[in-house]
This record gives sequence, C-alpha cells and structure tokens, in this order.
Amino acid sequence: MFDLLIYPFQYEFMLNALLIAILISIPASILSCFLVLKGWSLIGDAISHAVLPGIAIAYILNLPLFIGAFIAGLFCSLATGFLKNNSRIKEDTVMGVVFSGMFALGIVIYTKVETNVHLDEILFGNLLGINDSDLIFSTLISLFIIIILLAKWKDLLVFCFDIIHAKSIGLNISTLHYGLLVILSLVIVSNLKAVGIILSIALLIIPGATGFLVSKDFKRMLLVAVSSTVLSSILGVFGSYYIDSAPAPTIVIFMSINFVLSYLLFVSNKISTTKQ
Amino acid sequence: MSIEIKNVSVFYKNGHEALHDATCSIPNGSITALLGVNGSGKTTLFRSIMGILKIHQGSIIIDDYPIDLAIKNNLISYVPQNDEIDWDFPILVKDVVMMGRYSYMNFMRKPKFNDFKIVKESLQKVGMEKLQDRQIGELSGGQKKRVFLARALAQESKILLLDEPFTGVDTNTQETILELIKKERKKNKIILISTHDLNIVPDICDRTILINRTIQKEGSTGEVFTKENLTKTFGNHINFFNLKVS
Repeated sequence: MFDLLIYPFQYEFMLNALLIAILISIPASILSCFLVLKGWSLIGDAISHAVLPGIAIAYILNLPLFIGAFIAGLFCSLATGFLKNNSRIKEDTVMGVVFSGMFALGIVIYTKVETNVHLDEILFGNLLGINDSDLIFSTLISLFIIIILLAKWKDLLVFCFDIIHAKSIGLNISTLHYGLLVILSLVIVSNLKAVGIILSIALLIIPGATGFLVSKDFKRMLLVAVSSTVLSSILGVFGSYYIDSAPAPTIVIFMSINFVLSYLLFVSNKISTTKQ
Repeated sequence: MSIEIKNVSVFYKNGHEALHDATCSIPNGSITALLGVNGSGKTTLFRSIMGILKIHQGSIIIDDYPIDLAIKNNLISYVPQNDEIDWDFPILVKDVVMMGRYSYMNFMRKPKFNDFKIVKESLQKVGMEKLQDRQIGELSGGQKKRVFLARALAQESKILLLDEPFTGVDTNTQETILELIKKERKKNKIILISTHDLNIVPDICDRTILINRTIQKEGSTGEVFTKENLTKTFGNHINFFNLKVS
C-alpha cells in the first residue's frame, strides 16, 4: 500500500506536479471565498479568458508571459468597471462583451504568430511540465497573496458583506475593490502554467462554493474551502497517475465531487433540521 | 453639533434627479423623522449623508466637517433596511456586531478586551446575547433588525441613521428600538429615522422633515406634523384615523 502511495513520486515531474498543485490551491481557494461572497465568480471567469491576448502579445515582444497575462487581466477588470460606470449596461453583460472580445483577440493573435508554446498548454496547463523556476515563482506569488488576504480578511469581509457599513467605518472601498481585482489577476497568472486559464476558473469558484454550502461562519468556510481543495489536488495528482489522465482536470473532477458531497451533507442537514 | 444640508441636488446615472435643491438642518440631542412616499428621495438623502452617493450641487457639513472627514472620524453609524443584507452570508451575530468596532482596531482588526466588552453590552442592550452564535439568516425579522442596531451602538458614533427600522418587526422589537433611541438622544446624539410608520412620529420624534424630491418642510414635529403638510407630501391616500397630528 505504502509503495502504491510513493511509487508515482519516484519521478521528479510527479513530485513537482503535486507540490505546485498544493501551492496554487491555497491562495486560490482563500480568494475563491471572497469572490463567491462578493458575487464575483463571473469576474474570475472573465479575467481568466481575458489574459490570453496578453500572453500572445508578451510572446511577440519577448517578455515573460506572466507580465502580459497580468496586464491583460487588469485591463479586463478596469475596462469592465469603466463601461459599467459609464453606461446603462449591467456588469455581467459588460463582462461578457469584454472577455469574449479579448479571448477572441488572443486566439487570432496566437494563430498568426508561430510559437513554441502549444495553445492547449495555455488553455489547460501542463502540470507535468513544471520546472524548479515555475515552483519558485508560484511559491513567491502564493506566499504574497496568502499574507495579504490573511492580513486584510476582515476588511474584505465587511466589503463583501455590507459595503455601506464598510464606507461608514472609513474603509477605502476603491482600494479594497481594485486590490481584490489585482490579487485575482495575480492568482490567475500563478495558476497559468499548472492548470491553464480554463481550469483556473474551477479553482476560483468551486472551493468558495463548497465552503459556502456547509458553513455558518467565514472561518469555517475558509477552512473547508482550503482543505477540500488541497485534498482534491493530492487525490487528483495521484488519481491521474493511476488512470493515466491529465492531472489538472482530474483535480477539478475531485473538487466537483467534493462540492456534490458537501451539497448532499447540506441537504441532509437541512432535512434533519426541518424534521426537528 | 449638527448635520447641515445646503442646496443639495443628486442625479442618477440615467439623468434622473433624485434630490433637488434640498436644504435642512438636523441638530443633536434630538430624534428627527424623515417622512415621504416611496421614491421621494429618503434613501438618496441617507446615502448622500453617508458619502455613498455623489452630490452634484450643494454641500453636506457634519459637525463642521465635510462628509469624508466626518466618516474618517467615525461620526456616522447606519442601520440598513433588512432587504439590503444578504442573509445567507456565512457570518454569526456576534461577528456582525464586532464589525461596528473595526474603526477602533489596528491594521489587522484584532479586537481588544474593550471591544469584546462593548460588543457584549450592545448585544445585551438589544436582548440578543443568547443568540450571538447564530448565523444571521437564522433570525426573525425583528431579531435581524436588533443585530444591526447593536452594531450601530457598538460603533459609538455621534450620528445614528436608521432606514425604515420598524418595517417587518414585531411589537417587542419596535418597543426595544424606541427605548434605545430615546436613551441615545439623552447622550446628545443626532438621530435620523426614515419611516413609513407615521404613528410613532408624534410620540418620539422631536423634529420632522417632509421630503418629496426636495425638502418640503422641516422643523419641530409640533409645527410640521400637521394634516395640511402631510396631505401635501403624501397626497390624499393618507389615513388620519388614530394619527395624532398637530
């Protein structure tokens, strides 16, 4: 049994895959809690797609891809905010317009330039192709995001819960708003190599949704979100080895199973409370 | 101390003027009722005082400070309407009340002994200490209102704004709220209540402001709360039966 557990990790790429999966899942799942509570799940979706043209342009300019992705992510959130504030169109509609436009632009640029990075790798990540510098990069970004989120979680919670109260106690709403968007872009950038832009969305939505289902208070929500995602990451990497599939989508499948189990737990709790 | 509102106009994004040239003064040590039909600009005025809405003309001065500084000095606390809150939010009663103390805390918002003490006292004042570990969605309409009143009390600010505090609450809660705001009046605070419940106005409100996209009348309740003025603000639909008008 023990052999079965350690067997996959005789390969360095499997060990790296496991490490980076755990590493990126922690900040993403903490952030996910705030996104779900603020009703910003779709923004995560939008920014994930919108980073594509940034990556393509960065490639043409010979810049590190993450810089292009980060700038494109920020541009998407700022453009969405600007259009919403200066028109009658609702936010979700504006987001749909901005991110699909940017995603399309990304694909057009990508098909025009010859790159050595496969589109699949950008869209779905390459967890098995992680090297040491990717690990160091993700560790630094993850630590930075975890420290910021844990230091300011109470302010962010008031911002998500009751923005008028947040204002009345003198919190700077714009800083919290744009700060959260910058962190969101950073998380997507750090997820890029491992799970790609499409599966990033899962990491930004499912942990918070799972935690929300079974929690009455925020600390528990955070704990459930982080622990269920770390567990899914471990199971996903193992599982992918034994069923010979790609690790990133396998992780997402385990996260979805976690969500369904939490839902069933929530429903059975609700039924037993009603019966009392 | 007072809130001085001078010639304030507020426009919405679609160009609609929600408040036109509104001028009034709200002194301390008194309870002021803000009365008007739906869409008359009550909430707009509240939000302008809180600095949530941008004022396009005129000025609001609070205790000689412009709004931004008044907020920084923790002068304003606010009890929202029940429908402004997401009741599924994973937060416990005691944590909501603790949010009232954040402006007194450090960068990480770590509560000290005094904060816990004030939260406990505030919960006791509204009779919610036994339900402090409940998630907010597990409360009745009246209990929900009490929690947010406790948060406003914990904030210990000089101005208390209550938006429709009697809507959807039971008689007990209404009594508790009325007793508490009378006590707050004695502490020389500015208390502004927007309400549809005209019956409570002559009993507890020292001053009345009638609003219909602009301030129609303001002054002592004795002067303003008359049949003639109320008919002007509310139209002919108002039922004066049992209403103690001046």
